[in-house]
Amino acid sequence: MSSKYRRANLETQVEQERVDFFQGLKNLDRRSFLKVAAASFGAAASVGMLSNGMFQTIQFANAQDEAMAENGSGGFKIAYISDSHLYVKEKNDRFANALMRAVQDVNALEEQPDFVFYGGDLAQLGQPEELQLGYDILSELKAPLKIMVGEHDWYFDMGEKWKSLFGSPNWSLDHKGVHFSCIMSVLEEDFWTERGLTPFERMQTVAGLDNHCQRPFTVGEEMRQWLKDDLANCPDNQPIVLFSHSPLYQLYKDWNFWTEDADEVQEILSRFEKVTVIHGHTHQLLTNKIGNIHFHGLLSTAWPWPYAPQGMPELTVPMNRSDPFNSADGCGNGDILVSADGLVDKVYKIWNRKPILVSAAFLNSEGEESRPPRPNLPSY
Amino acid sequence: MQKINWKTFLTGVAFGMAPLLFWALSHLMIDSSEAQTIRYRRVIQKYQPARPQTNPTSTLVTQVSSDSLNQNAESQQESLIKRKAEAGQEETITMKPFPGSDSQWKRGFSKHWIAEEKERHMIKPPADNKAIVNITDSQKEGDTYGNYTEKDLLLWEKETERLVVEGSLIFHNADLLGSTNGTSCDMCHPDAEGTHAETYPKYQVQLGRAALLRDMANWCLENPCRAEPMSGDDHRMRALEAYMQAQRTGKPMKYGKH
Repeated sequence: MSSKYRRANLETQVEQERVDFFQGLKNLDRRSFLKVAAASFGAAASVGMLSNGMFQTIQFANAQDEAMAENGSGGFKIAYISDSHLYVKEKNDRFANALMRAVQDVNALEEQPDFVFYGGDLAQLGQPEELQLGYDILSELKAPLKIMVGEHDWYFDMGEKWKSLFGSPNWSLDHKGVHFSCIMSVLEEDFWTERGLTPFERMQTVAGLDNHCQRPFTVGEEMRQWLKDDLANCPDNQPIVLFSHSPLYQLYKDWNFWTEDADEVQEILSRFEKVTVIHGHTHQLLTNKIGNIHFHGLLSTAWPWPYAPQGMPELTVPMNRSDPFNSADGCGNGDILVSADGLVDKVYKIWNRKPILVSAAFLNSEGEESRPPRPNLPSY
Repeated sequence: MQKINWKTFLTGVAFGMAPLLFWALSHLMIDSSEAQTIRYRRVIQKYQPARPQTNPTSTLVTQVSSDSLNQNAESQQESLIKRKAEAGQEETITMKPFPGSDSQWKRGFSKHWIAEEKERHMIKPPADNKAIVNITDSQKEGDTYGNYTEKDLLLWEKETERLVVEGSLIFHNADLLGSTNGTSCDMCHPDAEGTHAETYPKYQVQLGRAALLRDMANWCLENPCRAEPMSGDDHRMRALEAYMQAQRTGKPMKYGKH
C-alpha cells in the first residue's frame, strides 16, 4: 500500500484505492499498466481478498526465526488446527471451507512441521457424516496428524464413530526428547437418562456452550490413572506437553471453560520442571500459568468466543475484538514451537492479522518480558 | 358372449361422469378466485409468523377477578390464558406459528416451556418492584394511579419475563431464527455476551451509518445465519431485543460507545 493512502481512515483508503484502480483501467496503456497492477494489488490486500500465504508467512517467518534464534537450535515445530465445528457440507459450507483454508495454510508452510495437532471439536453435532467430512479434509495434510477429541465429537454416539476413524482418544508419544500426552478431558456425568433425552438431544445440549442442563467437564478417575502411569517413567526434568480439550484449570463454569478435577491433574504434573498444557475449546488467545505449568489456548477455524465475563487469567493479553463483518476474523490456526530446552512458544496465526507470539519467556517472567501486543479494542 | 349395446353403454358412462365433471369444473372456477387467496395466506403464514394479538394490560387486569389469583403463579397464568380463550382472543404463548415447530417429527414446545428454558439458560431476572407495594396505608396519598397490589407486580413480572424467555428460546434455536445453515446467535454470543445492547444506537463503521441493535441483529441473520431478515415489529425480533437488553442488566447505558 502506497503512503498516499495511509493518512486516511480505512474506508476512505479502500474507497480511494478503488477510484484510482477504475480510473487507471479507463486509460490503461503499457506505461501505466504496472501502476494499475500495483493499485489493484493494494486494493485486494486491503479488503482481505489475498490469502495470508502472501504477506503473513513472511512476517511470521521473521517472528519464528527470532523465536528460534532466542531459544537456540535443536527445537522443532508443530502446527495446530482446532475447533472446526463442521456441519455436513450441504448444510454449511463456511465451516468446511475454513478448515480447508487451515489445511492449505499448514501445507503451504515452507518448512513442514514435525506433526500437525488437531485440538478437538471436529464436528458440530457429532454426526458420522460430519466426522467423515473432517477426516477427509484432514487427510489432505502433508505432515502426520495427531488428533484429540472434543465434546462435540463425542456425545452423539459416545465417541463410536470418532474412535473408528482416529483410534483411541488418549495417546502419548516421545519426540526429540519431549514427552507428549493427550487425554480425554470432556467427560460429563450422566444428565440425559433422567431427562429421557435422545442421543441427538443430548448432543445438542452439550453443543450449547451456555446450556446449564449439562454437567461440568471432568478428566475422571480412570483417565487420571492412565496419565499417572503414562508419566511414571518420565524423569522430573523431562519436558512434558499435555493436550486436553478443556482448559485444565477453572476459568468460567457457566460456559464449561472449566475442568472439575483440574487440581488433581495439576498435582500429577507438579513434579515436572517444564510442563505445558495445550487446550482447545475456548476459541481465543488464552494464556495462563499455575505453578510451573504453562497453559495455552488454541484458535478455532469456525468462530471466536467472547472472553468470559469473570475469571480471566492475569497473564492473558487478550486478542483484539473480532470483526463481526469478516467471517474469518478472530479465527485461525497456528504453531507450537518447542525449543531445544523443552519450553514451548505459542504462535496464534489469526487470519488477516499479524501473528501473535506468546513466548515461554513471557510466562516465566510473569509477564515482564516480551509481552504480546496490546489489542486496539478491548472487550465490552 | 353377449353383444354390447354401444348406445346404452355410452349414455351410462356420460351420466356416470356428469357429477365428476361438475365437481372438477366448480373447483377450477373457485381456484381462480378464493382458492388462490387461501393458498397465498398459507404461504404468508408459513414464512411470516403471525403476530400474537396484544391485549391492552387494562383489559387483562379487569378480566382477572380476585378469586382466581392465588398464590401459585403458574395457576394464575393458566387461568389468565383460559379467560383469554373464553373471550375469544388468541392464545399468545403458543409457539405453533414458527416454521418447523408443528412438524410431527420434531418435539414441540411443552406447556412448561418457560420453566424449561430458564433451566437451560441463564436469564437475568427483571427488576424487583416490591418497594412499590410495601408502603403502609397511612403513608399513601389515596391516588388511583400508583396504587398497585402484589398481584399487579406478579403480572408485570410474568409478562415481562415471558417475552425475555421467548427471546432466549429464539436466540438459541436455529430453526426459529430461520437460519439455513444451522447457525444460531448463541454460537458466537453465549449468554448474549458480545451483543452489548447498551451501546446502541451507534455509528456502525462497517455499515457506514448509525445502527440500532436490530440492524446488527438483522445483519447477523442475513450473513452468518443466512436467514431472512426480520421486520422491526416481527414478534421474534421484539423478543430477541428484549432478551439481549435483559442480559445487559446493570451495564450503564451509553449509546454510541465503541
